[in-house]
Amino acid sequence: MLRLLRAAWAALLLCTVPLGGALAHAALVAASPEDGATLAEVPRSVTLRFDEAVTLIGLRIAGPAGEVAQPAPAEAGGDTVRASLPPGLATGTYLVSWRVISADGHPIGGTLAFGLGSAPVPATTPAGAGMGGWTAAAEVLRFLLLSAFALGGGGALFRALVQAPPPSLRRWLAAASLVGVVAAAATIGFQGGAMEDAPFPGGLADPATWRAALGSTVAGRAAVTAAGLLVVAGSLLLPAGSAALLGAAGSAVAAIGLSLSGHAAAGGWPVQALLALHALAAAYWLGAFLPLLALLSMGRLGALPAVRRFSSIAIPTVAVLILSGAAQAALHLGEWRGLLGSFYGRLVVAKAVGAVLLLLLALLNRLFLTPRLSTGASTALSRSIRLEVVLGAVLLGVTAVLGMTSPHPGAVHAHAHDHGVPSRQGAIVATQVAGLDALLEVRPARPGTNTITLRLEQGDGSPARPQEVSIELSQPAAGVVGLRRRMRAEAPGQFLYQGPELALAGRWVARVEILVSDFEQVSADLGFDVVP
Amino acid sequence: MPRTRIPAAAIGLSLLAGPALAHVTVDRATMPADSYVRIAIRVPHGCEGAATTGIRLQVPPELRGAKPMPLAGWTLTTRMEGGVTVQGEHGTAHVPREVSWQGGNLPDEQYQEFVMLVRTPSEQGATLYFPVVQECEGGKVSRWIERPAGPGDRPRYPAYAIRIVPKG
Repeated sequence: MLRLLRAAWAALLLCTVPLGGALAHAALVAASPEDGATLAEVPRSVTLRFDEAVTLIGLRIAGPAGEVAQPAPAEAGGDTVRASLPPGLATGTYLVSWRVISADGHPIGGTLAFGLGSAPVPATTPAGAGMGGWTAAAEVLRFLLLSAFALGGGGALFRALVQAPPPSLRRWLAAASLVGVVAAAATIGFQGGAMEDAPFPGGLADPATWRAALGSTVAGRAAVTAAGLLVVAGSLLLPAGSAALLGAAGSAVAAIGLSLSGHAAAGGWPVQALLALHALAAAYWLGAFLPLLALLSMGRLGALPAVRRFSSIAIPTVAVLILSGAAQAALHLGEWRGLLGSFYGRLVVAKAVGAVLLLLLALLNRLFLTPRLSTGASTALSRSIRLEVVLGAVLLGVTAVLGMTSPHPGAVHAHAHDHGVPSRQGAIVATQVAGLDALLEVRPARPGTNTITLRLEQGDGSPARPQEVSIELSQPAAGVVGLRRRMRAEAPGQFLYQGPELALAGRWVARVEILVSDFEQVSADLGFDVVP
Repeated sequence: MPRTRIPAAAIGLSLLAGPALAHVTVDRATMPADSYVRIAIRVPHGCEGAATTGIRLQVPPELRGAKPMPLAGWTLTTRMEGGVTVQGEHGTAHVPREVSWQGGNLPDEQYQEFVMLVRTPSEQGATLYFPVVQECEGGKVSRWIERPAGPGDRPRYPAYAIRIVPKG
């Protein structure tokens, strides 16, 4: 009887157990390298430490070149699993997928990601190299465009406001404007090349490259700028006095065109108007150097009224130039610390220093060299203006690079972002979860660093305000499971995560976990493709 | 002698055979309707190795009474706002919305139970969820609050569910 009771008790124990749950399973408590870390050098091994002894089932490491062959099989000793890595791994993102059995017999698994090299972008994607070529070419084009605008547009302004330059110089200035028209048109193809990651410069021959850029703001800017410069060139070739006004109008159109895209385009029309004004003022100042030199070479006394007239308009113009330039720098940098902390900031400082030097030369001209015109030789003033021409060219060069540099340090594909890449470069999936509309956007949905944005709206269209949003990325087919990351609240109803986790092409599943309130969480699975 | 080994073997076997999910759970799967029942929230481990410093339970609104048991070393608080008011034979009873034991320190390798006396609904059939937020050292938090979205869904951090069965 007693034996029967004990047997019954044992049976009862067995029955109750599944309801209760066991007391422990293993949890990963530390990893080296850490999940999400970026390393400068290849670590000798990957170490995972659990909170209890584990038995290893498997550990796989995948990198930019596919699965990494481990020099020796991974080993588990007590609570630690260690896998050695071969030397000389390529730069990129690595995913470590592991599966272990904890002491209670329950298998658990997970994945951690780390980046090798300063930029955790897969080595197989030639994006970095390609972008570099396009970006450098775009900077040269922009320098050509700005110079053409300064020469042509500035010449037209000089003609309208000061005095008509000699016809021979006008023809040269018209030619410069036409170079600007060609440069503006070429900008479209170069932008398309950068957007498409096309091979440099062969991609220019592909019509698809040009078509890709036609939808971006760059195409609009290029068209407006080219139209303005075309008007300028035409007006400079016309001898009639009324052509002067036409030239000034063309300059204004070109200045507006220059302000339509780039960093200013994101700031709305006040910022754009500021930039257009800045461009016009700069063109007036820099564009006057050549006409002034030409007039001086024709005779110092004949040039005196023109020099006086130029200089009286130049004073308010320079004020506009400096104020609008400073306002833009402040807008983009946000704080003074940004000045030296970023490449953009250092460029702004370089530009400011150049502008101050130019201003000192202008003061010298106005206060000492111009008065001497009526009494003495014009050579000193001519020399000073030639120096101004050189300084002005340097300033335009810095401006060209500045326009192609993101004000935000570490911004990835900043150009693509600023110039409005069509959304087809990415994956968008939508779903509904617990009465919320969820829209997940992955950009660029290519292996490497991706920006994942989640927009959450309530049924009435107002932004949802959950306490916290996490995203868990898995690629079950590749054995990658559970890369869990907290998303950052970017704006009401908008959450963002940027990271290198999507290192492998293929079908990924994003599990979005939304903490609605302290005790209420909803989640949804969203699938999307990462294309190689 | 062999007789005593049977239960021991059963216990050993039961540990291996268990679902091994190692969740924060409650010690029973069902409760009889219209009864006073002692339940215990079982905390088998910390948050990813970190020691537990607080347990917060959102009391299921279906319960007609909930009285937490104090635990030495832990500060017991109840939050009444949002809780339900029930008319009973002993007058009006207020059921807390939230119960918490905080300020203790339960290392990852130790076990603790947090006990309550609850009064179950008068009708059978309902499934009550007991969402628990486990707070740990270093600001870590495990939220045992997920409810299955549909049949077959197995959330990773489930809120423990108890079914109300006929009395007696």
